[in-house]
Amino acid sequence: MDREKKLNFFTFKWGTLYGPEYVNRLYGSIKKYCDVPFNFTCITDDSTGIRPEVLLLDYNQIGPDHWRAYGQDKIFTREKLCLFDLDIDGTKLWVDLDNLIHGDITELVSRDFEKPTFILNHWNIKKEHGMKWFGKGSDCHVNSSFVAWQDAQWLFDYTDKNLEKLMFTYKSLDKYLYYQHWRTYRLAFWEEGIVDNFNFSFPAHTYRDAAKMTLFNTSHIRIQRMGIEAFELHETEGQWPWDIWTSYDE
Amino acid sequence: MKQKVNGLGIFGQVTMNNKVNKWVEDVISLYSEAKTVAIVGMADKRNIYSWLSKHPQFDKVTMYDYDPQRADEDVVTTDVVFDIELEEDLIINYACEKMWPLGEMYKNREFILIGDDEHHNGDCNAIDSNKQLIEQNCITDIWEFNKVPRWKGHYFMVAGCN
Repeated sequence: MDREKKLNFFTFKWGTLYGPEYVNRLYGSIKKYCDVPFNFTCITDDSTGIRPEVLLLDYNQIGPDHWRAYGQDKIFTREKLCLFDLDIDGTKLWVDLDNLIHGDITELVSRDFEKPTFILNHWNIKKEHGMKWFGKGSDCHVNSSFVAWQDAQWLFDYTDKNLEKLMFTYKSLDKYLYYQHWRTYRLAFWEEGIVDNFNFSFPAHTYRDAAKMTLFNTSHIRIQRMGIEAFELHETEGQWPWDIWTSYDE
Repeated sequence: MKQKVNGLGIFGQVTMNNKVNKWVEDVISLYSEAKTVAIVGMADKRNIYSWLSKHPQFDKVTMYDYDPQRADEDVVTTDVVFDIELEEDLIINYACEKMWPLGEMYKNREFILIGDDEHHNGDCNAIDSNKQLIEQNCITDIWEFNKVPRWKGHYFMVAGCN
């Protein structure tokens, strides 16, 4: 890692859901749309096929042993929070593999971040009854697909201190963040319009000029059988994201 | 037809809540020596709060709910597992299926514990038996327990001390 560079991107790839093209194209998109020198690190259990410009960290070495002792049904993707414990200067960001960046992000990543900054699901939270199920524990309007921070050690420390109770209570990272830290105003959020959602925004599957990036999460739609036509990035051939995404191979 | 079914559902729910509340009132009257009471996760139910607030035995009764939509002058909007430490002598938890067992955190207290087995999205601790409530909350002195049918399952209810 080049410590002279004060901008550090991280992404995670483990298991077989996404191939190396997701990592390579994500790197390509940031190279195209970020004018600030940066490091880009992939935390992975399989580096096969990942382009050489990408720095690598071993997924199986990330985070404390007692965090790894819990199953993946407990705070799924909690590994991301271990990045808050890394001793690296400057601005840190993590970006999910299925986040398509298609606008200039230089200004976004050059900001000062007083609080760790997450995505708020503007496309859902403003709907009528958007918070109807908050008390039931089934609401979630925080998304952790594009997160920036400078110093947020407190978030790792809080999680570690309350780990047993948090693991018991929350199945996903986003839900944990929503119920414990959105509720208590400890997080900041990107302004509405910067992040779009391919499957959830209305009208769906539409290119929006103002958006800098678009999310393609489908898990809730499929698990909850919501009856929405939903696409992962690699399923968009013939639609606008495909040409943009594949152009990042170059 | 659908409206009729919904109407019956609401009527049924009220009846079940009344059964639960009656049981709670009975066990408090029979066993509790508390002076202060915390009511957790009561949602829109206020009957027990009203009854306890008028009861001469209790100096202070406080409702807690983390849902800001339940905010009210009588309700403290907070998460009793993560945000604060309860100090009340008696803790009534209407939502055991939603949270870490409070009896694991608080010792030498009186408890009335109520949870259901409907396994909703958002339930981290679905309650499938009274034994589960007793063990999770380290209840050593069991006053009473009960099981009441609800829409798609049951309320399990335990009263006692740890």
